[in-house]
Parts: sequence; structure tokens; C-alpha cells
Amino acid sequence: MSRVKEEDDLVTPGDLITDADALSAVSGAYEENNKIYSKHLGTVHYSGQEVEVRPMSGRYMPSEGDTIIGEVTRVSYSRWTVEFNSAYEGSLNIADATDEYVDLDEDDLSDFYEVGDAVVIKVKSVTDGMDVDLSMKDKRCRKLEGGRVIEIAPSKVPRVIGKQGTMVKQINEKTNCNIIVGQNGQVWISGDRANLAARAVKKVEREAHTENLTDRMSEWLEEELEAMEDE
Amino acid sequence: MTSSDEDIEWFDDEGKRVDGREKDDLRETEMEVDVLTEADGSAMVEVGNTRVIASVFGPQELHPKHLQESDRAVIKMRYNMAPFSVDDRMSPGPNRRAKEIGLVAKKALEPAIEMEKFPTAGIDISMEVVESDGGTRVTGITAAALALADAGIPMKGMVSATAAGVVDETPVLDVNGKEDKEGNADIPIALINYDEDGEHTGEEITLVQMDGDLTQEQVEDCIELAKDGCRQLHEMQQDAMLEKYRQLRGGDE
Repeated sequence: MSRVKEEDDLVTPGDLITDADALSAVSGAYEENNKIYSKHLGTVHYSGQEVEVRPMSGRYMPSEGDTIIGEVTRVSYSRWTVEFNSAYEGSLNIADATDEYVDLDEDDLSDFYEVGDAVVIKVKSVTDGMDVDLSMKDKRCRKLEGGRVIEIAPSKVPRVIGKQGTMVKQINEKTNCNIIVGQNGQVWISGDRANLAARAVKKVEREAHTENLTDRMSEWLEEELEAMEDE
Repeated sequence: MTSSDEDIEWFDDEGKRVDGREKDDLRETEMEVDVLTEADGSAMVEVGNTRVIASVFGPQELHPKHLQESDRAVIKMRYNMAPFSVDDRMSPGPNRRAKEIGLVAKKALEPAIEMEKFPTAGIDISMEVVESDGGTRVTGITAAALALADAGIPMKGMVSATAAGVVDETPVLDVNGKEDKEGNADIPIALINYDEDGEHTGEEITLVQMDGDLTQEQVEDCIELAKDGCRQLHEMQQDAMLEKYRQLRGGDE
């Protein structure tokens, strides 16, 4: 077996990554003539028998089980339409929104969620034709009150969350802000130091592919906090 | 063939072309990725005095709905020349030529893109010719491929494109404006590069056009010449893409 590209190497579309012997291409890579090539401008990752290329950029593709942040854009007779910065929009049916009894002819659905509301919401299912069903039945799902939503590349979300959530936890503790990172790259931040937290998230996004980022972010946050106190 | 053709000295005593290049030289080429903030992907490519900015928006919801395809994405391709891109002001807006070039550029890029990944969605690609000195369609394709990669759209390989032509019965690579207008012929070629085993086995030609008067042998020579040019452009594309991230990586450690 010969690896042409190693773990974390940068690749461009069409680059040869490795021979396919005993390895299979998963997301971002493809197999042809017993060789594995990249589909993206991104970084190579090996895990077990699988080779993956994580793209540097790209729009969010809804995937079952993801928790995302979206905006209600339409209230219909028995469902809501939610947009979440993707090529596709999702629909939230009344049964997936609440356990309460709702009389569709009497009750007004906008009492639950109105157009313009930001929500943390779960992707319940995605069909081959990209019809997306959403659900609020998860303990993390809720309507977001106050705060702000900033945008990062969906491919950088795992880095912003960090291993076992270390990165986001660190920013949360140091800035004393509530932070929710949606898989779709929408990040909700609420708190007095929301500015600093937003800058920190953006910095992680920018430097996502560098090493020892968690430690460096810790130092950077300390410095910024000191500078703020001096003022 | 124009009457002035015989009067032009296409090659000097050393066999160099009107702008000092060898027969198989590309013009001086610069590429830069991510030149626009709002676009999902963008790139600028300069080949000699030809300069094109390409942008990509999407995949996004496609309107009107009847244009949607239930099992694949649809590309909307726009080729436009700025009024100031030529020596005399050009009247702005789409014309027959721009429509045709938009269509062939779309067909040159589409085979490389994984269209099935985005059913019902639309991908908007725009090629804006800022300055024109021959070879705008091929430069546009090269730039658009970079913009697509920058937008994170999955492709089986990068598409690069250049033209070869015939002047004074001699095949030359990457014809400039003068060679294009007053030479015998030119042949734009686009190539998907995706087998880097040194033997180019996986290459696919996705665009061949021909304009002018030339022999079968000259056509074959031109295609080989242009393919070689495409390979050189592909290397530059790879460098341009990696450059953006190398700076970040290098600057931080």
C-alpha cells in the first residue's frame, strides 16, 4: 500500500490520495481504478479503513440527526418552514413541534413559532430528493431569545466545537457567554461579552487547520480579557 | 484568412512569436483564489493581458421552479465582457456570442462536477471578462473551476483550459488577441485533470472548438499542444488553491 498523501495534508480536487487496497473512500473522496482521489479542496483524514477529505468550504448539506440553527420563514396551516443557510429548506410538522393538543382550525400556529424566530432544531429525516423534515423533540431544541447568530463555514464546525466540546466550552467559560453551535455553521451567542466570543469563534474558524489551537485560543482569550480590563 | 495575413511577420529570426514567446509557451499567467467576499467561491485568472474574474454562488434554491431537476443540480452560467474590456467600448449586456460561450463553458465544467449530490438545487457561475486579449473563454473556464473548488463543490478533478492556434502554417500555444484575430485558426480546449500518475490516463477533454482553416495534422498538433498547456495551467491552479492555506499555516507557526 502506498500513501501519496498523509494525514492532514492539503489536497485539491482530482489529487491522488492513496491506493485503494484495503481502504475505502468516504465523504469528500472517490475511488476509481483502485485508487482514491479527492473531490474537494480540503484536508485528508484516515480513520481505520476509511479515507475522508474534509472540505475547506461549502454550503451545509442537511443530514439526519444534526442539530442546527434555523429561522422560521413561513407558517402554514399545519407546519412551519425553516431555512438554515443551505440549498434546501426544512419543514416542521405540528406533531414534531409539540405534544400539546392543537386544534388546527381554532389555534394559531404562530403562537408557537412565528416568522423570523430563530430556533435550535433537529434534522429528523432527509429524503433522496432532499425533502427535509425537522423536529423540536430533543432536549437541546428550543426557540432562541435574544443574543445573536454569526455564520461560519459548516466544515469548520467540528473544530469550533473541539474534541468533546473543549473548544466551545473554553470560550463559554472565559467569556461567560452562552454559545450554541449548529451543524449548519450558524452559531448563537448570548451574553455581555458576545463581541469577544464572536471574535474567538471567527478566529477558530480562520485557523481551524493549525495545530495546538485549543492552547493558543486559551492564551489569546486571556490576553484579550486583560486588555479589556485595562480599559 | 485576412489579406493582411501575408504581411505580418509572425516569427522573428530566432523563431520567437510577436510577443517574444516560443511556439509552445503560455503567456505569463497569474491566478488568485477567493478574491470576492460575498461569493461562495471566486477566483481571478490573468493570462497575459486577458483577465477574468469568476464567481460561484450556491448550491442554492433554484428559481423558477420549472428549471429544477429532481435528481441533480442545474448550472446557470453567465459569460460577460465588461464594456471597457476591449480596445473600443463594447455595448454592455448579453449578446449571441456571450450566450454561446456561456453554454460551451457550462458543458466544459459540468462533467467534472458531482451534480447528483445537489438535487433540485442551482449553482450560479459567472465569468466576468475585465480585460480581453484573446482566449477569454478558456481563461474563464480555468477561473470558474478555481471558483468552484473555492466554493467547496465536489468535483472529480480540476478543469483547465487554453487554446492553440495556427499562424503562418505553424501550430502555437495560447494564442493572444492578434494571433487569434489575424492568424489562420484557433482551437480552444478544456481538460479535466484527475489522474496524476504521470501518464495522464484519466484526462478527459470537455471542450473542443475550431475556428479557421487548417489541416488534419495541424488539428492534431494543436490539440496536443493545448493539452500540454492545460496540464501546466492545472499545476498553477493547484498552487493558487494551496497558497491561500499555506499562508495561514505558515504565518501561524
